[in-house]
Amino acid sequence: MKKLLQIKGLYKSYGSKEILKNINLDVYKNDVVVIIGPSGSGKSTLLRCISKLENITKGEIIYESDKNFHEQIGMVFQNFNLFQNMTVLKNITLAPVKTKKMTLNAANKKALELLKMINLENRKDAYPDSLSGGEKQRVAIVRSLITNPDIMLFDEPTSALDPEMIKEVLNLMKKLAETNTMIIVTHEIAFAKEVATRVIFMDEGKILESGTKEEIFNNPKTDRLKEFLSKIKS
Amino acid sequence: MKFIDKIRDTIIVDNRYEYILEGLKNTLIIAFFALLIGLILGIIISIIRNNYKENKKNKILNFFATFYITVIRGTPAVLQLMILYYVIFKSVDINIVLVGIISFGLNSAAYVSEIIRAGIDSVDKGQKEAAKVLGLSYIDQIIYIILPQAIRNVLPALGNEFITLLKETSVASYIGIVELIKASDIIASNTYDYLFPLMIVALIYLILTVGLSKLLKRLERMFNINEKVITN
Repeated sequence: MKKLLQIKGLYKSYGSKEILKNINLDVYKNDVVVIIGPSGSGKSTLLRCISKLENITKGEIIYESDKNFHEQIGMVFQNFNLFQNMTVLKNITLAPVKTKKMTLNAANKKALELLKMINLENRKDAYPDSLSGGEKQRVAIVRSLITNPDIMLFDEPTSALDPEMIKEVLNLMKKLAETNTMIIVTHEIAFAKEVATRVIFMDEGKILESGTKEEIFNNPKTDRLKEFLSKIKS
Repeated sequence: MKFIDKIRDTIIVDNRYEYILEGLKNTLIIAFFALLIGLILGIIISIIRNNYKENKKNKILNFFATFYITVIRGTPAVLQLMILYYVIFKSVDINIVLVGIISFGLNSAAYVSEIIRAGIDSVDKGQKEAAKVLGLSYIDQIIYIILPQAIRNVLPALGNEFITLLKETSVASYIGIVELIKASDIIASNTYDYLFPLMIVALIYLILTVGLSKLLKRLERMFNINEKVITN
């Protein structure tokens, strides 16, 4: 299988506070890596390092593709971060057009296809403020999808959503998981059990356990993971 | 003399209204073009400062921008105008109204840049992060995402600055530009009566500023409707 990403001995600190300690991780094509762990364990920071939103303190992240970096990585945020001053359609087409990856016509066509896929075609001229949380997140997902990135990063994509909207976002992600490589930080354990090809448990900036979903959820080795799982089940 | 005669004396006799019209014209010309210069230059300055803050780029340019704001904000506008006219353009043959435009434009730019800077800081950080991950360059982020939202957020403060600028142009009379104040002064020195010329000019300023704030209110509403409307 083709390796897409290689993280070697990654450290990240803010001042004297170490957020990530010696992270090692390989991601292969079609992997769906789900990262779980208590808040403050460094999950989001790890994604932000991979997407270059944070500078790394030590170690390296190797992107194993000859595509330009921004075509390799797509990222979906907890708070959607749709551009407030633009319509849904413009949100999706702006980046590929401005970075000259697509012509405006091609981008519009592709964007409409994607909007059709998520049943939001009729909302193409709406501004983000008039969308529901679930709609915003689905638009944000297709926005990051339009240039076919090698790896899609999801940073707690359902944490800011009302319960009834979580499902529509997770359904879309399930669909995408069939054909895409994804790294997902989430608290949705049921979802992780369904789509993950690999689960990583992080605590205090370290990867404590890594394995298949069976290994992690049915056979936790460390006390920390057992404790964590018992807490979120109750 | 009766009220109506005083008005007549102030406006109609000797075609004195021409002074008022001349003054109004110059006030409007100076205010409009100074506003334009102030807005454009102010935006450029705020981008220079933001680029340094975010990316540590153009340190020297940032130093000059900061220095510029300090000097402009730290000295009276009338002093800047006099220095420009009596010192810098002393031996240059230049239209005096143009000197006014340049002076007030440069002055306004410093204030506008500080307002826009506050606007840029008010835009949610996530907007920039999303743009960055999508691969947009710094300047594209600024032009398409950050500035439109920043300006919308500070539109009331910008409106204030425009109104202040409009009134501040009265200082132009110091270097002999016939704007509204100067016009009333000329009329008063002919009629020996200050009350009416000053009242007329006050009324004109009021009409201008009320009109301007109405215009700005409409602009604010436009910005908001644009983003709130639900289209089906």
